[in-house]
This record gives sequence, structure tokens and C-alpha cells, in this order.
Amino acid sequence: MKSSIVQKIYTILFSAIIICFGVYLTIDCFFISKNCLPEFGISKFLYGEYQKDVSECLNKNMYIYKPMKAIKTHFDMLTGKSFANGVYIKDSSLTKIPQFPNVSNLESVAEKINKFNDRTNQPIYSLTITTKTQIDNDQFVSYIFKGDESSLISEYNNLLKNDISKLDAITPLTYIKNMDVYYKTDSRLTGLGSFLIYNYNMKQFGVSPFSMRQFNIEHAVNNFYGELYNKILYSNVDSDTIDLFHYNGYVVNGNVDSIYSDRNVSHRTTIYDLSRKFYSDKINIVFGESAPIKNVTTNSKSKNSILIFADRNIDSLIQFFAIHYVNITVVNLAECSDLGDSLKNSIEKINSTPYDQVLFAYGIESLTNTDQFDFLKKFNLCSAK
Amino acid sequence: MGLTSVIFLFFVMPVFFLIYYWVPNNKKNIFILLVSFLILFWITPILSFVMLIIACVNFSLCFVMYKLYFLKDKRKYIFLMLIFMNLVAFGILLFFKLDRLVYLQEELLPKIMISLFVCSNISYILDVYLKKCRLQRNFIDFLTYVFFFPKLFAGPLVQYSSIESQLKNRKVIFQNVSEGMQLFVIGLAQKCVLADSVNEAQKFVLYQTVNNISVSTAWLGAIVEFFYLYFYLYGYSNMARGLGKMIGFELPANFRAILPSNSVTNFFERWNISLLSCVRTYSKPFIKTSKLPIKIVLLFLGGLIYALFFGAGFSKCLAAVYFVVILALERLFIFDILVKLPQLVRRIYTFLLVLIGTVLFWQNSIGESLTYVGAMFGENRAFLDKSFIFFAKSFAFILLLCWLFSTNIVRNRVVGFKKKHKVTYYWMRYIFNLVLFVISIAFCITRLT
Repeated sequence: MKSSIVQKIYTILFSAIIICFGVYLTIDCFFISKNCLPEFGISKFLYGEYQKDVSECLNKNMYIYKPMKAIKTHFDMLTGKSFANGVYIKDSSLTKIPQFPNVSNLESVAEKINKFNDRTNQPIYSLTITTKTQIDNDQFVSYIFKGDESSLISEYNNLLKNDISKLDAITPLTYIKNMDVYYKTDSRLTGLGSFLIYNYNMKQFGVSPFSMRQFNIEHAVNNFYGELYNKILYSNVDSDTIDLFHYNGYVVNGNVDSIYSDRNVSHRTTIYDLSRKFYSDKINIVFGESAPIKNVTTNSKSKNSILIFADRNIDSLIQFFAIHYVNITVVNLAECSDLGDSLKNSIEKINSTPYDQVLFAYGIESLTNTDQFDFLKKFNLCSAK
Repeated sequence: MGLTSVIFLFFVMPVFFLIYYWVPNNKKNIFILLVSFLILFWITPILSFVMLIIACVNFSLCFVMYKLYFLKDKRKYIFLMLIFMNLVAFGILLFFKLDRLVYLQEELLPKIMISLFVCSNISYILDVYLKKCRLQRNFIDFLTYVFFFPKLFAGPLVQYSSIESQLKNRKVIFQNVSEGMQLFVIGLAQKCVLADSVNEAQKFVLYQTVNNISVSTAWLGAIVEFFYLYFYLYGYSNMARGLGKMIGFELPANFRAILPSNSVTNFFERWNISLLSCVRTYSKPFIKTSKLPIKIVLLFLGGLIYALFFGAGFSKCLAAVYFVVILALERLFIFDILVKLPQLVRRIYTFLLVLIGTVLFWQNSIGESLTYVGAMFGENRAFLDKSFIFFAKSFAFILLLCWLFSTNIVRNRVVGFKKKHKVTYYWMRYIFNLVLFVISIAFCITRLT
């Protein structure tokens, strides 16, 4: 008798959970997740892309997604695992399990950059930034992270033409031990990491870098949890501090135009986007939200200008470049590729600007996306001043 | 949209059950068919219509075959033509890799889905031809059997004759609904918690270059592959059985605790039971001799069907041949030796042979299979390396769970507990089931990202 009561309670509870979520999901579908639901297209549906996008949208936007993710990570950690959802956890620091480019990826990227180099008069520099795994290598990590980044980078550098100057990120980043050159909860470089790269390489650009003493460091955000934390939501991870490096020689001002398309340009009067302090994407405080093209005009005493093709690894380096360049244009090729002709005028403007130097600054993982470099064809720079 | 997807669990399933219990009995099959076909259409819009056409042709020609009962020869020709046609359709679907048009996250499911669909059709044709059942005159009921969504993804393979009566008359009892829910949750946990976790381990182990892995890592990889396949198929089967039970169907069990197998023959009495029972049932009327050579030919035929069921491929055929040879040898003389050995030795013997078979089955080509087997037997010399310690440490708990749930240890303990504390047992069982459901959902939702 008692068992049948328990059985009834169980059945009702189980049904209630399923039905509640069903009702919730229906409401969510029509109201909350509406924005992420993909546009229906017959060919997209026939090839399963529509179904995949709908599943992803519903999955990621479900209210219970985050708590469930946290449950899974904690379960994984309890069972002795040291990684979850593509993130390796060690001493409350998170490392992304990276996807390295293969040789053909490197060849393809190098070929496209070499072609760009052939039709450009300006000196070209290449900086390839390693992932945290290269710096924070321990014996277990190597079982998960396949590939030797330093040999990949030297292979890539060898593929680039000799007149392209190759900058070194590994040496400065490994120079200081036990310091956070990468965020603990994000895969990007900290202000310190960027400073080390800047300090080590700037001479190659023909300018003398400033030392650490010539900067005031502002702890802009103390409770930053980056993209890696969001992937696993593991509570035993410490938060990061976002540091901003202010040059104490004079106040560096920068006007930043974020160009999303020729008709959609947003403007701000500082390099740092301090309003981001109060949003979830606090990392954008360093150089604002991502945009296909960003144009920075500074009050630098130097009259030099630089065009930088980069991914988001470069963001924290810009504050240092702003001291030495009066005009910095940062092009995110991956984002440009999706927009096609809507950036036509902006690209023409870049082509007619007499830049002094050109820098390619990419994280090693970005080199897997070789297609983005096709967009380089659109750039035919005029001669330098 | 598999049985473990968010859309199915929280959208299709509640809507389906809410409407199903409300629909009058005579309309229930139409409703099941409608939902089944919509699910199929969602996961494979193009193939769903191809499958519908195949089912229509089978239904019509079976009708003709049945009506020609007085003309034995013509009946036989139509029967052979139908079987041939289904095999050709199956061959075309796999040869042209049309399983790629099935948009499911899992690699294995599309092939099994197509195999199950063709096998269900052949089962109906055989049952009608062998007069094991009456001709199905209701097109809807036939399509309901062929497209029945709980078994559509990974089985169990249901013989038409065993479900014929349930298509007409079935009762939904509260107790069955409750048991079905529990079985569904257990299946969900087997798939999402055990199989998917083990799959993660499998990816890490197998992403290492085979030439560099130590003997211990290679064996760990094989164990992981074995548990993945077992809990993956077992989980889907239990989910199917659970869903079936909730709507009044009694689907056959497809797996039993696998580690107590004391011979490879015994292993196949516990592994994918429904498929092998189909092969056995349908081969009996055609081969009536008990001579050993015929039995061995039958074994090879079974092996071939087994390899085809999982999507053919040379490595799968090699695995099938490997198992068939062992089964034949066991019948010839190994059994006589085995019975004299202690249970533990017999179990270890079975497990080791099955692990090698799993490796042969799982790899992409015969070359890869043989390289991996070579690594298991020390071709790369090192016995133990640090990567083994890392993987063993990372996945020890999950592997322990897999081991526990592949034996009867937990079941026996639970039965013992039930006898002593009946009331506590029921409370514990249902609470555990609900907790298991939440954990499984956590694994399901986060799996894709």
C-alpha cells in the first residue's frame, strides 16, 4: 500500500518536472530565446543546419543551463577529473584545451600574408602569441594538449618571407615565473603579459619601450571571471583582476571609432571602455567591445601610424601602442569576412592612409581559421609617408 | 533530436504524453505515427520520405504476397524480391553514405537507425511469409510499427509477431507508467552520465598517437571503448523500453549485465539480445539441420548481419569474423576446457577476448585495428607511462561505476536491501531516480557545448 503511494508521488513529481520544463521551454521559445532562434530556410533545414542551430539556441539559453553546467563540473571534479567542457583545471587556474593549426593551415596563412607583403611597401611584422599551455606547461597537461607550440610558431615563421620581421612572444612570457601573464579564468593575456611582449619587442619597431616603473597600474576590476570560467562554472576558482597600465609621462588620450559597417560606427573618447565594469563582459574594459575595424587616434608625441591585423589577443597591447603611435587601426579579419562589402568605404580609407608599419598579431589558435586571411586581398595599401 | 536532446525531453515528450493519454484508444496509433514521423522528419527531412516510400512498397507487396498464398512459387518469388529489395535499399543507403543525412549528434546512431528500420521491415515480411502473424491490413498500424519512435534510434529490434497484438490492444496501467519512467531515467543516466563520460575518456586516449601509447594506456582505451558501446546501446534500449512501457508497449530487453559472461557465447546471450534472437528465430525455419558445418555457416551469417547492422565497414566485418571464429572454436573444443576452469578465469578470458573484438570493431580501418591491437600487446614496448596514470586517475570513478553497473553486484545488494527494509527501499528508489534524472539532465544539456 505504502509503496504504491510512493510510486504515485514519484510519477506525479517526475511528470511535473517534465511538464513544467515543457511549458517553460515553450514560453522561452516564443519570448526569451526568440532572438537566438535561427531564420528558417528550406536548404538549411534539409541539411540539418537549422535543427542544429535551434538545439544550440535552446540549450544555451535555457534558464537551467548554468546551474546544470555547474552540477556537471562539480560532479566531474568530485570524480577526480581535472578537466571539464574543454577546460583544464589546475590550482584554481583554468586553461583552455587548444586546437592547434596543422601544417597546411600554417602554409595557407603564410602564403596569404606573403602575397600581402609582396604588394605592400611598409615594413611588416608578425607576432604569434602562444596559448597558456605553452607557458604553464606541466607534465599532465601534455597528455591533453597535443602539439608543441614553439616548434609550430618557428615553422610558421620560416614559412613567412624573410623581409617580414618576426616578433617573439614566448621568451618574454616565460621570463617571469609565477606571475599571471594570462588570466586565470580567461585564455587572453593580462596587462602584465602584454607589457612583457611590448617591452621585449618594441625596439624592433624602432621605438624605445618604457619600463614598468614608468606606468601606474590601476586595478580596474577585481572580480573578473572570464570565458573559461563561464564554460565550466566551477566555484573553486579564484577571480582575476583586470589591470590597466597608465603611462605616467603624460596622459594618453585616445579617440576610438568602432566600425561595424560603413554606416554603423560608434565613437568613444578613451581607449578603455570603463562602462564595461558594470556588465558581464568586463574584459572589454581594456579596449571595448569587439568590432571588425577599430580606429584609434591618440595624442602621442610620435607621428607614426600602424595598421594591425589581429584577433582579440591584441586588446591589452593597444594601451602600450597608444603611447608610440598617433594613429592605430586594428582590423579583425575574422569579423570582416562575414560582412563583405558593407565595409567597402572603411577599407578604401585604410588603403589610402599612409601607415608606417603593419603588424599581424594572432594567437596560434586563430591560424586554424585560414579563410579569414582571404579578406587580406581587399587591402592594397598606399605607400608610407 | 535524439531521445537525450533538450527538445525531445522537455518539449516533445511532455506534449506527446499529455495528448497521448487524452486521445481515444482507436486514434492512439495514428498519434504515435504522427509524432514518430515528425521526429524522423526533423532529424532527416530527406531520408524520412525515402523511408516512407520503402515502407509503403513493403506493405503493398506483402499484401500481394499474402494474397498469393495458393501459388507457392509466385509467393516465394515475391518474398525473395522483397528481401532483395530491402537489402539493396539498405546497401544504397549505406554505400552512398546517406546516413550522413541523419542529423544526430552521435556518430553511431544514424547507421543503427537505418539498420533498425530495414530490419523492422524485413521482420514483418518474414513473419507474413512464415505465417507467424496475420497480414496487417491497417496501413497506419504497420507504419506505427516501422516508425515507432522509442525504438527508432537504437533499438531494441522488435520482431513484428511479438508486437502485433500490442498494436491492436494495449492498456496503460499506472504501475507501468511509473516503471516506464524509472526505466527511462536509468537509460538516460546510462547514456548521458556513463556513456558520454566514458566517451570523453575515449577521445583523450584515442587522440594520442597509437604508436606512442603504452600497453597499459592501450588496454585502458579498449576498456573505455567497450564500456562506451555497452552503455550507449544499453541506455538507448532502456529509454526505448521505458517510453514503450509508458504508452502500453512491452519491448524486449536488449542487454543484461555483461561482465558476468563466462564465455564469448554467453556474452552474446547478454549483448544486443534482440538482434541475435531475430537472427536465430528467422534462420530456424530455413535451416532445419543440426549439423555442425551448417551451424558454423549460420554463425558466419549471424556475424555478417551483425556487422551490417552497425554500418558494415571492413573493420566491423573483421570484428564479426573474429567473434565468429571464437564462437566456432568454443563450440568445437574451448567449452570443454572452460568448464573445468574457475568462474573468475572464465570471466577474465571472456573479457579479454571481447576487448580485442571491441577494438577491431571500433577502429576506422583494418590497419588501424591491427596497429591498436599491436599496441595492446606491447608493440611499442613501454608497459606503463604517465599518461596512463593521468587517465586512470581522471576516469577511475566513472570506470568504477561502469564496472559496478556491468555486473549484478548492485542489483543483488538492492534485492537484499529490499527484503530487509521494504518501505525505505521504495522511498530510496524513487528519490534516487529523481536525483539521477537531474544529474542526467545536467550531463545532457552541457554535453553539446
